[in-house]
Amino acid sequence: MSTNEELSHSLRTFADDCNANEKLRVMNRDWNRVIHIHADDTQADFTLTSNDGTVVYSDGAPSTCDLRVSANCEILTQVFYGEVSPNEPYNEGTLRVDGSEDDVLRLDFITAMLWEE
Amino acid sequence: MTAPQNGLRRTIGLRTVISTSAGLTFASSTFLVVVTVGMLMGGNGAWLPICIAGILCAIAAAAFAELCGLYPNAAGIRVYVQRAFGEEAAQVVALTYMSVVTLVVGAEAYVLSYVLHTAIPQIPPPIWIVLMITLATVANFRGLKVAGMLQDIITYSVVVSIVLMSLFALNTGAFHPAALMHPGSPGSLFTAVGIAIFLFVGFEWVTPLAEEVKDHRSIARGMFAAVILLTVVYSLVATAMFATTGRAALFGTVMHRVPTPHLVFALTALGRAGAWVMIVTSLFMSLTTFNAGLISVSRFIYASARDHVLPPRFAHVSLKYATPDVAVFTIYVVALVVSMAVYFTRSFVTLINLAAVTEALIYSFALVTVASLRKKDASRERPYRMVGGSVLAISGSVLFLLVGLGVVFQNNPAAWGAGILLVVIAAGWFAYVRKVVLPRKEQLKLQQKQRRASRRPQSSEEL
Repeated sequence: MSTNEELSHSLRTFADDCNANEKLRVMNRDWNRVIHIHADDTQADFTLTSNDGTVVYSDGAPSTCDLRVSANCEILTQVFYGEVSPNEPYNEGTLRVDGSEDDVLRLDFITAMLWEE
Repeated sequence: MTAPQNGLRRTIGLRTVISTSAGLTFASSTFLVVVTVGMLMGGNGAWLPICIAGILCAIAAAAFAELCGLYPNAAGIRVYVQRAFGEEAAQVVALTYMSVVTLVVGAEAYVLSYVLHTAIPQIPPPIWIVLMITLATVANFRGLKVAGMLQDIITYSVVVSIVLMSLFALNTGAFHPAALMHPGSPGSLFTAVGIAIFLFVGFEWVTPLAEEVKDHRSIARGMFAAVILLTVVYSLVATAMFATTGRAALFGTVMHRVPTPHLVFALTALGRAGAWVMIVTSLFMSLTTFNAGLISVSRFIYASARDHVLPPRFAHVSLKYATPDVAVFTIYVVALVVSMAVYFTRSFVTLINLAAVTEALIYSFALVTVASLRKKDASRERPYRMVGGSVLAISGSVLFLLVGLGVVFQNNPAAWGAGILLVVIAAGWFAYVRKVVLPRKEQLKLQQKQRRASRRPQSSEEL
C-alpha cells in the first residue's frame, strides 16, 4: 500500500512531467484550473494548479476547485506515477473524478499525452 | 453564480438541467414519429401512446437517477452495465447504442435538409446535408457546444413555439375533444407506445452534468420535469396536427417518404408565417441533436480507443483545440455517408424504428441494472433511490422489452428491417468484442505496463 508521502511524490513528479512536456504546455496555456486530489482511505488532500500551461503542486485542500479526483491512496499513486491508465479504475468506479465533463476529458487528454504517445 | 460544495465549483441550476434533458431529445425527426404514432391510432388518439411512453420513461428516469448517483461517471450506461453484467456486455451495449445514435444523426440531417430546402428551394437537400454536418463538425472540432444559457434559450424557445403554434391551430381548427377518445386497437396501441419512445430518446444524457449542479437532487428532478414537459408538448402538437391537418395529408408525408409533416401542419393551420416559424423551430431542434449526437459519439470513440476497444489512432488529440480530432473527423465521415444513404434510399422510417427499439432496450437494460446493483453493490451510497425498488425496476424492464419488441414485430419492412439491422449491429459488435477486443486488451495492458517506466523512486530516501 502506498503512503501519503508516495502519493505526494507522485503528484510532484506528475507536475514536473507536465511542465517538461512542451506540447502539454501549449495545449494547456488557456486551461487554468484548480484540481483537488483526495485520498479516501488516508483522508490526505493535495492540490494541483494549472495556470498558463504550468502545473504547480501544493499540499492540502484548496478552498475552491474545478476538479476533484478521489480514490484510495494506492490507486492515486499508481495513476499519477503513470503505472496504470486512469481509464481502468475510472471505468471500474474505483477512481472518481468530479467536475465538468470538458475538464474531466482534458485531464484524460493530459495523461494520454504524457504516457500513451 | 458559483456554489462551492466540497470545494468544487458548481454552476448549473434546475432550469438548465431541464432544458438540457429536454433539449437533447428535441429533433426535427420527432414529428415523423408523431405522425407514425397517429397512423397506428387513427389520428386523433396519438396523445395516448405518447402519454404512456412518457410514464414509462419517467420510470427509466428514476433508474438513471439512481445509477448516476451510484456511479457518477461520464461513461454512463457503459459503466452501469459493466458493474452489473461485466465488461463484455457493457462494451456490446455501448457500441451498439453509439452506432444507432450515429444513424439517428444521419436521419436527422436528412430531415433537416428537406426543411431547409423548403425554405430555400434553390439549394438541393444533399448540399444542405453537407453544409449542416460540416458546420456541426467544425463546432465540435473547435470544442464549441450548446450548453448553459444558450441551451436554455434554444430549448425554451422550441417549447414556447410548439405550444403556441399548437394552441393557435386548435383554436382555429375543427377540434372536437370527443375524437380524442378513439385510440384504436390494443395491439396498435402497444406498438405505438414503442415507437413513441423515440420522442424521449436521450433525455438521460443529462446525467454527466451531475457534478456540475448546485443541488445534487436537480438531476433526478430535472429528468422527471423534462419527461413531463416532453409528454405535454408532443401530446399537444400531435392533437393539433391531427385536428387541423387532414389525415391523408399527414399520412401521405410518411407514406411517400417526405420527411416534413410539421411543415405541412404549420402551412395548413397557420399559413406561410406559421411555416416560417416552424422552419426556425425545426432548425433549433436539429441544432441540439447534431451538437449532442456528434459530441457524444466522438467522445465515445475517443474513450473507446483509450480503453483499447478501438484502434489507438482514434485517441489522438488536437493540441490547438484540445479535442479528439481523429474521432471527430471519423464521425463526420460516417454521418455524411449515413445521411446520403438515407437521402438516396429514403429509409428514414427504418432508422426511426431502429432508434425506438434500441432506446427501449437501453431503458430495459438500465432498469434491470438497478435491480442487479441493489444486490451486488447493496452497501454503496445512493444519493437517490428509485421508488418501488427492484420490483418496479424489473417490471419496468420487462415492459420496455415488450414495447421494444412490439416496434419490430409489425407487418411492414421498415419495422422488421429495423429489427434485423439492430441484430446485425449488435451481433457484429459482440463478435468484435469477444474475438478482438477482450484478448487484445489483456495483451496490450500487459505490454503497456512493461513499457511504462514508473517514476516511483526505488528507495524511501528519494521521497
